Amino acid sequence: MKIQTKYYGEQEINESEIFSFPAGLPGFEENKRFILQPFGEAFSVLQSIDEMNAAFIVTSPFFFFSQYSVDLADTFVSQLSIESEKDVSVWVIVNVQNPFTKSTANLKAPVIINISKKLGKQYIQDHSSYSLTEPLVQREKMKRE
Amino acid sequence: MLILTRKLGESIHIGDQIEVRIVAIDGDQIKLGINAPREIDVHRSEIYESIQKANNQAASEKLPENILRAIKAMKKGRQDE
Repeated sequence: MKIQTKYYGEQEINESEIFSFPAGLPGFEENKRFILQPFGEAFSVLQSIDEMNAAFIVTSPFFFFSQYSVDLADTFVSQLSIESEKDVSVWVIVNVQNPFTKSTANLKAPVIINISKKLGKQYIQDHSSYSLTEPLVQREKMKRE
Repeated sequence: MLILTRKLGESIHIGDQIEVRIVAIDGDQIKLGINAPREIDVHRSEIYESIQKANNQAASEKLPENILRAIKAMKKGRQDE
């Protein structure tokens, strides 16, 4: 099928690439189907099939925050039909800023995808010490560069 | 908005599967107990709204070409170097 994408224009995609997000994403509740498009090596785009502008730059939190961890509640695990840790892929949405060094990642609400079931959902934790706007480039690392 | 008056210990039913009970009242704080099926998510409104807002901000930017090129050029593990 052909879809319109925010960063790559019109794209031909396979049904098999589509992840189902039954609840959409907060703020984008109507968007229930997404694909992941590689965007260079360290980032990807989580692109809605149905709305071109519902596209998010995402990354693996573990690239940038090696200590990052997320503990999925049992209810969430069953909602996503997760049977094994191997099913789970964790992404965080990046709010890209100009200049890039001001960009932040939403570590508080990661996007969790069950790769084997092609099911995804943003994980909202009422109690989390992580920030919605964690600087992607850490201060001390900026100094070293 | 439907407005109901309830006393401590009383509850309401929303549909046939959701029950919300007044568990405790302490000054201007009210503790609610919620019984709902697993597939129903329950969140504090301000948390859900803050994530809606963060998602909207993340998707709204039309990013300049130079930033997009820089992101694409970034290598994995760069932060550990």
